[in-house]
Amino acid sequence: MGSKGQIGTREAIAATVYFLSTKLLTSFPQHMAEMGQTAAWIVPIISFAVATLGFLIMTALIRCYPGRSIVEASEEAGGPVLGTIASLGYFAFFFATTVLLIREFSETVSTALLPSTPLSVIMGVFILATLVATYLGIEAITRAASLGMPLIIGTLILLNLLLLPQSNFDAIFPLLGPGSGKLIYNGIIHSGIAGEVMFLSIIAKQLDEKHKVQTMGLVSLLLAGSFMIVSTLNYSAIFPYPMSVHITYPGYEASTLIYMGRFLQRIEVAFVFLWVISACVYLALSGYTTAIIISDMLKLPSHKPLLPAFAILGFTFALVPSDVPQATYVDFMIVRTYGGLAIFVMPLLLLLIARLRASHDTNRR
Amino acid sequence: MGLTGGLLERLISLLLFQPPESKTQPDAEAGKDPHVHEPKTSKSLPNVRQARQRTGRKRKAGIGLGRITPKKIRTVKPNVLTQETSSEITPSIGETESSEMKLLSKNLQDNLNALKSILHYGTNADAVVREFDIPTIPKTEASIVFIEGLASTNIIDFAILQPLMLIANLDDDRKAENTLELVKRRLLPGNQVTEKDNLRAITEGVLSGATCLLIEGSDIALTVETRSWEHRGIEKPSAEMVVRGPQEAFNETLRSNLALIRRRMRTPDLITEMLKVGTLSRVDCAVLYIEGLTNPELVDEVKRRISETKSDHIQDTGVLEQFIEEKPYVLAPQTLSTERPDRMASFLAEGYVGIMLDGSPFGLVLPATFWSLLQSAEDYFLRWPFGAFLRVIRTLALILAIFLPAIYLALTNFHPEMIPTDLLLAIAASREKVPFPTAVEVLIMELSIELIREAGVRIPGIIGPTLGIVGALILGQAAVAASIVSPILVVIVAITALGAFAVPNFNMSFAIRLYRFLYIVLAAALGFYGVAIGVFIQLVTYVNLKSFGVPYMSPVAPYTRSSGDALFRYPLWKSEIRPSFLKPQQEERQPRISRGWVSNRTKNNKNDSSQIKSGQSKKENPQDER
Repeated sequence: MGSKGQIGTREAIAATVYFLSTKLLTSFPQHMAEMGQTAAWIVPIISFAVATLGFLIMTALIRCYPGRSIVEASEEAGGPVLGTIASLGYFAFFFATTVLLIREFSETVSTALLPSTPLSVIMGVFILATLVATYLGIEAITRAASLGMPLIIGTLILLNLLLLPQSNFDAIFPLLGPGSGKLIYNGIIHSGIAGEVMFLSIIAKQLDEKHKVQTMGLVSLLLAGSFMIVSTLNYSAIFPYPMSVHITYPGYEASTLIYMGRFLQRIEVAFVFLWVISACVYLALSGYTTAIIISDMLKLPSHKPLLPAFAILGFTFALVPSDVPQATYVDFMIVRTYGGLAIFVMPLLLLLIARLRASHDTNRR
Repeated sequence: MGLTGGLLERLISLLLFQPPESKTQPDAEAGKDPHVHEPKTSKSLPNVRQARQRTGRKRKAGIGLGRITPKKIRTVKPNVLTQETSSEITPSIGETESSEMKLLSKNLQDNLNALKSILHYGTNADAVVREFDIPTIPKTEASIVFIEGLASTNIIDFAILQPLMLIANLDDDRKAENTLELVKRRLLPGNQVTEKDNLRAITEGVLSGATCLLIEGSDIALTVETRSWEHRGIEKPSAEMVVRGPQEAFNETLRSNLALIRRRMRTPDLITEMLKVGTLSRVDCAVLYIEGLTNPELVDEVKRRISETKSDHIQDTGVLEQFIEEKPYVLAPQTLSTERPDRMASFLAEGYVGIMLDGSPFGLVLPATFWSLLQSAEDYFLRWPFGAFLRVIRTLALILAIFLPAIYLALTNFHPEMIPTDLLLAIAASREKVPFPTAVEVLIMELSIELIREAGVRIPGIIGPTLGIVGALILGQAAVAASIVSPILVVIVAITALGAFAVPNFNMSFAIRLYRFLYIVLAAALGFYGVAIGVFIQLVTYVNLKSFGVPYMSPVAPYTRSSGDALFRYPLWKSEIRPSFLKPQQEERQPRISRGWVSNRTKNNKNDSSQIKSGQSKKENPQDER
């Protein structure tokens, strides 16, 4: 249930776009290169297309139970057992991505900004900022996202433009990389890279214009998808395959290449500054989503008492991966792969059950 | 899940934070003081000893301070200050509410004794009682009561005593059957005479400078408007100066201030509601708004907060704002203070609510948004590109004032690779002889500049600002020469100070100074990462903040319709709507075509040839084009 803030359409779209596209700052482009080789930029196109279908299924499920979030709708459709399993699946996806992203963002900061600072300190500060934001509630987080959105979009466009001199677009050929079949397969099974779109259906009942949830999701997917595709394309052109597979943070590495004369160079710190803010927004959104799923499951009046526990759990689990490659591997190869099943297939199953029940009830009448 | 969920639910509900009851008691309840006891009104004239004994007893009983309880909020149009009714007056100090609410008797001496007792006549040298006879047939005993210094002796002599004692003789019709009516209708030339029937209302009037006339045989007293005290004239603004625009500022007299606003808002819909604040100070507090325009819920909320403020001494809007703001622990100012009547008037025209307090040369504008604190009156008096440019400069000033020392610290300590090589070498050379770490160096300089600023304000006389500047220059120069700080840091600190001065709101400027120190600490500890985390926390705090129910970052986050008057300033003729976050009753400020002559000209140009031929000048109504 949580705080019943009224979230405007702009704020909801801005937050979802943040949620979907902030992973560009991590090793996302590297994994796209692993899956799509020279056609790394095509993988997100397919994944986002599949995620769009998945989101349409989610909204269809919510429509069956107006005024409910997807967690409540799942429980209504699937009953206490299947509903709880579905909700735990959603929770597991968001909790795992939160934990892994905490680690990945912290490692990025450690590499780019604070190599001498202990990782636990960086992670602790991230979690503290996230805790403050999630405590203040979704209204504050979405508004912060909407306020920061023009700045982040501007930075992203600027970064891509400044990197154009370093780009060699011959590197994207052969256009279909490992072949269309493999490309489509990889795109489909990694549709979890856009799994964060479920956020909208989780906070559906807190939206100001609930009837526009589908439009909000589609617009968010379109915007975030465009950013990710263009950025991945650009990184593919800057770091040609197979070199792209060996660069952990292509975004950061690419920004170090910016050279605008003798005076304006090595400005990656300025970009990292904005990335840290984006990472905080991401973690706040994912932390809030995780807490609100449990809060809705247990029908708690507020998500706030859960936050300290989740903060400690997040900190602990984030330290579990032995290093960055392991964390990113778990994130993209396990969570985003099998997570897609939980967040897209489960709603489909529940929707079918809901429809069957509805038709059964109609026949009985 | 059901059982586990239920158990967890119960466990967590036990752990839930239960916010304390924020709602205060209803007015009627709040007004009742459990310690109040019935007064022992002395029948005889109190002497000094009696008065002291009485005061002592009351102190022991803990009832020294009466409580202000606005029973009913008045809606008063233009002559608000004089249209008081007895039911609205608050209890007096040192007397119980019940005794003050006591109705007057027809016995002059009883009434006079009661009033003397309340005013501590005899002990209190300011209270004056003048007893005399009105030459009616038969003569009627009367008394006037006033406070010396608050009431004008000239008015009392020539507009009260002289007519009553001398001119009454000239009239043939001097029958004493209805003396009150005779006095009120024919003998008191004062322009504002009010009837009062209870001691509380009379006391309130006398303490605010009116003169009370008590007449034998009448259980109604007359309060004559005689308020006149020494006050400062209207001067130029000292904190919100402009080059172009009005040069008038509020002073400490509420009446003058209200007149200054009303002179700019000549609409009968400008409402001034009067409240009292402070149980000891009992200052008049005016709540201003435009009837039919301002959101009534906003007005009610403002009045509710003021009327439920319980404090003994509120003498300035700076004090009042601390009682009515939403989040006292957030550094951001949540009300906007202004000393400019023109600014107050323009805010009222947009649908804001204004507060003026007697004795305070600053008015409050509610609610405040972050963007409004970066705006100056001059933005609107200049052509829009200049106004917009000033806004951009001010935003830059804000960023520099908060972040510049922190950025310098982060760059030099954590990310020197970002600094161009030549500059880096220059910085390194300048820091070569400085023994302190950069963080200490920055803190020394920032604290010094704060010291100079504070000392500059406190030094009496005209040498204050001069000494501040000279001190800063000499100190800076000497510090560099002594290798305590590097020259580049002096430049950084100077730019930062200039940035803080460029922020037009004094409270905001203060907040910025404090934020700067927080960011210095964050930058010293974690470099850019710390600064970014600080920005994020500040961002979420600000977007979560509300001022009187209005989101602080409106109209940007959340996005609401407005005339684009936030970070930039749009042309005035394009500013067609009032800020929708205020939910004004009339959202349209001006028609879509506010410059009607443009449409006339366009139309005329189109029909130019035909008009010339026909020799007619066709006049179009711009409203028709909409």
